[in-house]
Amino acid sequence: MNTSFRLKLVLFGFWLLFGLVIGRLFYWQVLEADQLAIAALKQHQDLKTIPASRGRILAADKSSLAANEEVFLLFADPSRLEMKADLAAEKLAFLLAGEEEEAELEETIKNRLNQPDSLWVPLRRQVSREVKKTIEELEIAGLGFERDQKRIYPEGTASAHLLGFVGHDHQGEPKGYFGLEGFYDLQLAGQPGVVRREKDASGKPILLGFSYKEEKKDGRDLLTTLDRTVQFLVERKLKEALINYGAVSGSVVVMDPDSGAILGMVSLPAYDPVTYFNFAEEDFPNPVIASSFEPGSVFKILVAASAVNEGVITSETRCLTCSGPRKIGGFEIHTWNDRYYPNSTVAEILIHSDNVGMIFVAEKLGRESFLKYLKGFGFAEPTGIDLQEEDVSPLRPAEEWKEIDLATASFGQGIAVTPLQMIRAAAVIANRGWLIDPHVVSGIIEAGEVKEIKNRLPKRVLKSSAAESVSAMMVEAVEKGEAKWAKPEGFRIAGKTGTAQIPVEGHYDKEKTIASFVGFAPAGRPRFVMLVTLKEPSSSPWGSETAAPLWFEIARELFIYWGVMPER
Amino acid sequence: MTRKKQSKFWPGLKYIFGGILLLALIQLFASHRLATAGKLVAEIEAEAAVIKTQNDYFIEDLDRLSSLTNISGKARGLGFIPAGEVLYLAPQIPVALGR
Repeated sequence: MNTSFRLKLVLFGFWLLFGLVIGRLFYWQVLEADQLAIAALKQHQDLKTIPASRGRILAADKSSLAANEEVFLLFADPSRLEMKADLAAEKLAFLLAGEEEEAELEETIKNRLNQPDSLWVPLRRQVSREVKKTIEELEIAGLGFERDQKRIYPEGTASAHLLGFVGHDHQGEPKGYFGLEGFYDLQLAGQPGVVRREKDASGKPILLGFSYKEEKKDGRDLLTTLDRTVQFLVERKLKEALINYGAVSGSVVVMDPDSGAILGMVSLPAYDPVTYFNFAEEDFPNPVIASSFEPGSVFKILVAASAVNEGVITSETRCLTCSGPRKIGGFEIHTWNDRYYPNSTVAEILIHSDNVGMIFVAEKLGRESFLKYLKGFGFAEPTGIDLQEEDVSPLRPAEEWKEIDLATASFGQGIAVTPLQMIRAAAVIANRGWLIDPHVVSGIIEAGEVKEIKNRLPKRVLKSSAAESVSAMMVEAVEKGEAKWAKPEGFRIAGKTGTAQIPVEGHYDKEKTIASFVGFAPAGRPRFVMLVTLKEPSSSPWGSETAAPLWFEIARELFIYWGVMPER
Repeated sequence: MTRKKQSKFWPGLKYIFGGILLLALIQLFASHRLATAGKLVAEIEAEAAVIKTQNDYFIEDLDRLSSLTNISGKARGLGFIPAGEVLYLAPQIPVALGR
């Protein structure tokens, strides 16, 4: 081998090595550049996510209806665990679980701790700070805690349907469902912040180095119109009533008739928003806004108001067809007690809750006007209340309304409304003729300032004189009607009882009813309008014996609470 | 340049260089203090986090203790009972004021 060849061989070797080095450099500095940059960033920079707190939901007096509690995720690093997994699992399960699930939890923890190759295993979520402290006192090496937040409802489950609950979306992020939590989820959620800065070898920040900060935005607080005292006493009274009257379910809504502010809203049975996952999906929708019912006789006040407003009747107009049952479209319509009052006035029709008399009033009004007022009172559309999942039944088109439909609708059967639609319509009479928008939130709090939420302007539905006339008839209905025995003494209350049969598979059930009472007080200058509904009360099917006494009981408490004096 | 002219300039330059050197030393000292203040910052941040957490705990406790559910339970425990009959002592409101 001559010298020249050897030299060329060595040169080739050098070129080969040189090419390898260049190639490797190219690989690391070009192809893997991004990965290396990220790795370098991780090594030299500290990235912290600053979690945002979910906004609170406050009552009108700024007390918390929904708030946050700090809880912890307990995790373990099995590779660093010094205690035996069995013993650690036994100690932890005793502290973390109730009696029923202790054994199961112990098994789960033991299995997770027996993974020596894992660096991080979750053991239990939502550990309270008291339990965390007790676990820390055990001084078990290899355990750690991560901060988390849990939604709490200090006033209990009373407002579950109103507030909704916080679950998780498909990415595992907290998300509100139903009620206020669902409707205002974006405002309540907030945005996490980020802090990125250079750190030294021991992890401490280098102030002269790179620094980037994005402030977290905590969720905004909601200021509601709810009076928690009203909410509390309504829940207590409704709970007692469900037991006393043997009702399957019930709801109460208390509203300011002038502004539409919801002061109290309770539906029972309710669910626990903290452990919502233990309840069926059908328990979540709020019956006040999402369950339609045939209102029955409470609806009569609206039909009477419409006819008075149209000028086709007055309170003194006499019924010419009230001497017996009415035959319409192949059906025979009776009064609720088969008693008939020939030549009764419209006021007396309401006092006796006379179905046959109401057919007379509806016929005077006429189908077109009747439907016009149905829309005017807001039954053709949702109320637009700021609660998620409002669901109303649509009104049938005018051409589908037959004579029998007008007749039955005049006493609140054959038409489906939600309790919220019903109370909103009743408020029109209470506030002398205006259709208002019911709402729960009055303002959103951001940076300590309350930004008021403006509602739509009310719409005039009735003349003031018509509303006053019907209000007077409602006062007489309370004073002289079937529920007069339960009425609080000295107060002028305008109201109407209702006992509606429940439609089941195309016919009306003879036994089951929805008992209701709608009214406002004091009649001259109403402080509140309230609707009470009880489903299938077993003690008595009649509204005058169940819903009305409940309404009056709640009203007594409200009069005391608000310092409303008796008028006589 | 003659020695005489050199001696005019040299004292001035000495002061300028001296000043620059002094400023450089000050800047070095200040940078050193700032660069190593990270430990202090970390300590302050940790303390602030602890105080904020305690504050949050107080708010949580306040929410729980001031709830009507809690207050009514405590009231029952103290022997309070719902009011029975209510007696209105005020005279009848005149009709004009009633509306």
